[in-house]
Amino acid sequence: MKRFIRLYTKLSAQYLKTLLEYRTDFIIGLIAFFFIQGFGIAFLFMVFQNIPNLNGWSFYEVLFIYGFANLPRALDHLVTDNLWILAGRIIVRGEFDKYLLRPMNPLFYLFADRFQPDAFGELIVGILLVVTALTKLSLHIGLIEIVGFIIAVLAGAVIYTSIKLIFASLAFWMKRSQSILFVAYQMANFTKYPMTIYNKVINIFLTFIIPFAFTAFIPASWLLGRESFAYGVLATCGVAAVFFAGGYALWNAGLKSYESAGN
Amino acid sequence: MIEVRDIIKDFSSVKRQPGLMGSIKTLFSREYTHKRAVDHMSFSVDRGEVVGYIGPNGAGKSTTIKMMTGILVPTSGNIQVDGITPYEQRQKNAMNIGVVFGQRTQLWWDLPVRETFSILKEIYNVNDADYKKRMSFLGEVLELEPFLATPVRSLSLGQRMRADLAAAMIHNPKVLYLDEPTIGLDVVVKENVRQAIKQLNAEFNTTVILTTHDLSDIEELCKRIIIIDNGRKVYDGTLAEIKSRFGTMRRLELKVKNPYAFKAEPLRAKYGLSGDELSCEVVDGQLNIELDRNRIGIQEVINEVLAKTELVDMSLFETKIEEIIKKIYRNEVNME
Amino acid sequence: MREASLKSYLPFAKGTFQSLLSYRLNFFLYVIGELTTVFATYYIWLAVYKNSGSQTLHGFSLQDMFTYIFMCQVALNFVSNDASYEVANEVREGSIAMNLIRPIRYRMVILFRILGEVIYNVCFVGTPILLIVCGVRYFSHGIAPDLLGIAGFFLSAVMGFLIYFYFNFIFGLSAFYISNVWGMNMLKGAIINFLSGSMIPIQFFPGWAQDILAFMPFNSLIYTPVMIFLGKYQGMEAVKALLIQVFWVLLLGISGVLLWQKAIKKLTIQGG
Repeated sequence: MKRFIRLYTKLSAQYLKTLLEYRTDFIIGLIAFFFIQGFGIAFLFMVFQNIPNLNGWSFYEVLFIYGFANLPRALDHLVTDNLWILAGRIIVRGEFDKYLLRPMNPLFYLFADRFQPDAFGELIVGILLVVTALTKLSLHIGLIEIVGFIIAVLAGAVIYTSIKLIFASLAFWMKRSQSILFVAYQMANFTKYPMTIYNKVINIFLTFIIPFAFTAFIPASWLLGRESFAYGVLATCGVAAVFFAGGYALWNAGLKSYESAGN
Repeated sequence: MIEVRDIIKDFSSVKRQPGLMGSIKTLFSREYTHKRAVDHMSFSVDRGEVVGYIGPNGAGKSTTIKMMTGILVPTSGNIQVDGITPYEQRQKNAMNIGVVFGQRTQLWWDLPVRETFSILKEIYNVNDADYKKRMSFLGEVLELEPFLATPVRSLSLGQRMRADLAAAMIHNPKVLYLDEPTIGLDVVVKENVRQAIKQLNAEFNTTVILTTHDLSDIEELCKRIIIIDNGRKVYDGTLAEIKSRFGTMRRLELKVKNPYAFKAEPLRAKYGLSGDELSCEVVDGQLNIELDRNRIGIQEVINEVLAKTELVDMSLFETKIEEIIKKIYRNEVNME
Repeated sequence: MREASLKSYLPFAKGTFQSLLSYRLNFFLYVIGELTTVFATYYIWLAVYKNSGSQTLHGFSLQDMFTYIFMCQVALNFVSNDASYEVANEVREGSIAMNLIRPIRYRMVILFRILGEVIYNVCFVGTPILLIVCGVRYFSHGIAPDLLGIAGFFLSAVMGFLIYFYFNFIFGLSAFYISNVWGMNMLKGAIINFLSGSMIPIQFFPGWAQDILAFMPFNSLIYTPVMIFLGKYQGMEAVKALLIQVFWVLLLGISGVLLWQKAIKKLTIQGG
């Protein structure tokens, strides 16, 4: 474990040095990100000008869910962004060879080889929204809530990673799977709002098939006092474990089928 | 050190169908086309050997190397590298090997060369003392010093190749796989790289597997060569053996009045020669004769030519190793 | 330089169109991915109207709102293009100079390349959505298709296309002066997506924001054509909105030409 952390730090530090050569782009990208998030919130705000609540959810409750949704997404985004590139070009161009030639777990190397600082924008906005909403909502926040919150965010990030891993691994057979990965990833768009506004089909789909519901709405509902601890946190961890195991198995099967690139 | 036992590698690809419906069908259909890239290949390599692994494009060289390094899993058969099955224990195997792909660098593209080494030091858990020792040896042999602080993307091809070699050696691997290490280099740099490989092999007793299109690499570095074609092994032996078997081959290039007047068959019949031992062809109006000096005198051949037509000019060459190996590829000579 | 006829630009449009054809499956998957946002918005509006207790909000009924969010997607198909990215790339790589030795206008080359993409999007995404919207309005709510509105929508959307094209052209040329067009491009996309009204109708914006937006070209991109389709702009109001669009086409078009000429000067004097 210590070796993993040291290697991760070392590799990320190298990637950061690469990024710093393009730092202005990075900063403008970050600003753009704040704008995107700001507009999303402005949208919610304008919507709430017309209604007292959204199916029983107050503005700050919705804001809390919206902010919470950012956190697991950001953590995953920070670490596993290379999965997008895997699905887009790494496999089809045979660039995956290098991940198999080092004495490291290839998935670990893939993650360590790149990180996405844009995610800091998501993280900052998410924390700001969650804190703002919490101060307005006057909820009971004790030790259990704080620990449960952190665990749920981490488990949510693992769910994100697992779903991405499943769809990115398809590239081992399909050569490219970025478009399918994109469709799957976009499903997360539904879960940053209170999911009681959707019909049953969408709810079942996002709970059991592509379980993004556990990355935001379900754990956030627990903190808002509308779901049990068992469902909000424990079930989230369970889903994370099951999907990560599935994703990792598919990834390993993919490694066996990897065909490198013909010359 | 390396045992390759009867390996086969098949590549399969999904049959693509035209049109929109076709591309949707392709997604779900399981109709494959198979291509056999490596076909019942076996050989073994001892510690410290430098083996040239050669063959024409698409012969299956890279595929074999990729299986030995653990990138690809063979369809059937078995590989052991220092007692490890590379594609099953990839990480353990990776500790034992160094790889250089001539066309694709392993270095961190945007960073100074020095940074790559410090990352690799961590990745391979090299202790400080060994790291220092090897860096100074590699630095000297490969003359790295002048460009250690240069970002990889601004290196010349020769510098990059030297840095790649050093990067593959920093953990003192038992086996070094070099895929086209001299591709695109000019003559002087090629010579540098070859010398470096020689010294590394001598100093660390590293086993080296080398694929190349440049046979002068082989002549200078490899005692043993394995030639493959269409995924099958067609020759495995020393270069010296090829040379001694074909070293008595000579090539006569003759300018004559009527190049079609001379025929090889009567002489073959007279001296009981095979097609390998005497052959002729006419290229651009010039008569080229290949002959084995041990089986027929040059004088007999020239006499025969003079009897048929008038000689204008002539030159005599030793047949080059390239020519012989090309013949082996084309199955024009029998290796049995 | 002899003026090339329109015909010599057609291959550029055909080229993009055909290369897009070969990416069909991926293309449709991306479209589906983008539409998830629209469907999420659909359900939000459904809940909003249920909770608001009134039939209309800022003059929009629930039916209007559904039509609005889906027609925004159709209008986006006309408007979206990555001309700024293409131009900026050529500026950065210096290949833009190559265009000076060809007997054709660079602006037109880019326009036609983009046109191939737009026609593709409109044919295979925009028109199907439009037909579905009209079908749903007719069969579920008995609203007959308003042919004048559809015609006005197309006219206005083409204007929107031209405005955004010139906007992007100028933006791309700015790569001559600033080096971070990539980041700026993302920022631009975010701002336009919101201010053009494609997330929420401009009517829902606070009064002061609406006043400011009235003096900006963003309304003209998405909001104007969709309002014409909905019949919210009729008669003189529609004509006024179209004239504002014409004004922006001219203003941005002329600025684009002037900037291009300035850029050429810079290019020929400094060698890029």
